[in-house]
Amino acid sequence: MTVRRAAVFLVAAALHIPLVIGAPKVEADPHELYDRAREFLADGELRAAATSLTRLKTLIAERPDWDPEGVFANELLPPLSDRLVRLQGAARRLDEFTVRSLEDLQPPDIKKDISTVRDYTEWATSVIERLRGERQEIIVSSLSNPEEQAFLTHTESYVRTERLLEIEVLKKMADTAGDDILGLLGGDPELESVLVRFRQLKRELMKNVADRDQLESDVKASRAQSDAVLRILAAVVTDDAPLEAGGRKSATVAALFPLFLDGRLTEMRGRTSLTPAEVEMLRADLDRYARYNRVLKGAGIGPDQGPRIEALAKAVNDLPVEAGVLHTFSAGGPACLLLIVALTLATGLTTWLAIARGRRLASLHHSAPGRVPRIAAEVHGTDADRRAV
Amino acid sequence: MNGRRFVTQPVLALLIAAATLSCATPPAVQPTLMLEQHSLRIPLTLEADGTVLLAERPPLIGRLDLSPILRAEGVNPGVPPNGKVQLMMHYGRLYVVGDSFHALWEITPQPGSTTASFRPIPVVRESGPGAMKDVRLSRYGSSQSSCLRLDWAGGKPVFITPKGDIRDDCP
Repeated sequence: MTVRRAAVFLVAAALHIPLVIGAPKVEADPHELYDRAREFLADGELRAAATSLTRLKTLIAERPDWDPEGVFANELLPPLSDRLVRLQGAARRLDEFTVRSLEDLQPPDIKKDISTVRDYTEWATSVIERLRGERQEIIVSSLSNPEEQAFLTHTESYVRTERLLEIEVLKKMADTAGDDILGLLGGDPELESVLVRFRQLKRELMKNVADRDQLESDVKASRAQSDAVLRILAAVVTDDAPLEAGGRKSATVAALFPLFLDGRLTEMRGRTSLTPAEVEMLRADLDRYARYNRVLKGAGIGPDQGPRIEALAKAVNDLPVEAGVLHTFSAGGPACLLLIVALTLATGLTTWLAIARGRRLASLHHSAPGRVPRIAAEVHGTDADRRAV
Repeated sequence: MNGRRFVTQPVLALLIAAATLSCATPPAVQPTLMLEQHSLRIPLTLEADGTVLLAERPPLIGRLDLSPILRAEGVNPGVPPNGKVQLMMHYGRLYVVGDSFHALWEITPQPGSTTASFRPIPVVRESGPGAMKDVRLSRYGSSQSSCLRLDWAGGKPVFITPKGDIRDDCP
């Protein structure tokens, strides 16, 4: 019986383990899925937006209780779905445009049309201008809403067209036409200088492309490093306190520092008094926060948090300080304690001397009860000395 | 003679009652029309003085002073834990909740004025660490009688009926 009970207990405990380890997050509701879909659309992440919309549709179809009046199903979802469809259509057309343009991108026949490198440059320029115009035409004809046009520029499809216009056209020219023109100009002494110049231009072009790729890579690395530094900085200025801030984007020091100060202020306002040691420590903290604020503000990393720090200083100053004797003396340090010991010893010694002297006087008084006070006896002694002289 | 009198008195009383009823003006019946008044969840930022600006989420405009509620929750109006509360309109009343709250607060506007009455609907009975976290308001139920649903991390959802009662399910 005991074994069975223990087994039941173990099973029950095992079943409750997940609940104890961490409270489950609240299941996404239609509003959250709707907000996510909108954010993804604005960021040009069409696949993620489609996923969120599908989840939203499934949720309200399977559990209509989440959408009592059909607000999402009838009013909010259709326009968002339409917008997604329009953006997907435009993105598809841009992709087709990119593929078609790359296929059609044939440098002109050198033997017939091209005689100098300048002609090549003009060809490339005209091709890029033409392709830009075609792309703009596709965007405008697919999307009439300027906001949606802006969303489209964040999509992968648009980025591919940018690469086509900025890199692929020139690369194609360099790759294919370069060899042809070398063959055409080879052995012609009059065009030798043009050939040299063209080779130079080709090298510069390839170097520019390589430099551009390297710069992009460097920018990414620099951004990652900057983010890491900011995270470290945030941990420093907030004493590594666990704070919650930001949504999908990572929280920055500019967001965390005021949160941290607010937390400290809440903590201070919750206190009823402070010990002198705490006051000293808090004042040091306040000086530190003020320095952090100056540095962050000076570097343009975050807005001025001066008012928050002043509010915190006021909260600290407004709190009564516990005035215990021990606290006061312990705050004074070892020198103060030594002084107390010396004073105590001096007081004891003085008291002992006074008592001893009192006892001696009392004993004298008892031995000569009829005499006038001792002062009179001393007068007599003086007279005797005078007579001796 | 007495028997005749006993018969006459009730008849007379009935006649007087009938005459009174026929002369009385029927009470004015106010005509009604259908009005669905709800909102989606509205996240709002608390100002330092404990107010929230409804204009933060157009098309609503106006201002709502939550400082009495924050005081009752033990939250300092100047320094809220995360500076956010959630507001939702449900059958003409406003409901407010935020992280570290112990109750959902019902705010009933007083038409024709800039004031509103309010009352707590206790959700978490313990104080201190028992306060709610990751709170979320949603609408839930059928179209005839939908509820306000309150979820929070680690707690079972509760439902507020159209009449403002709290339940474990939506009827």
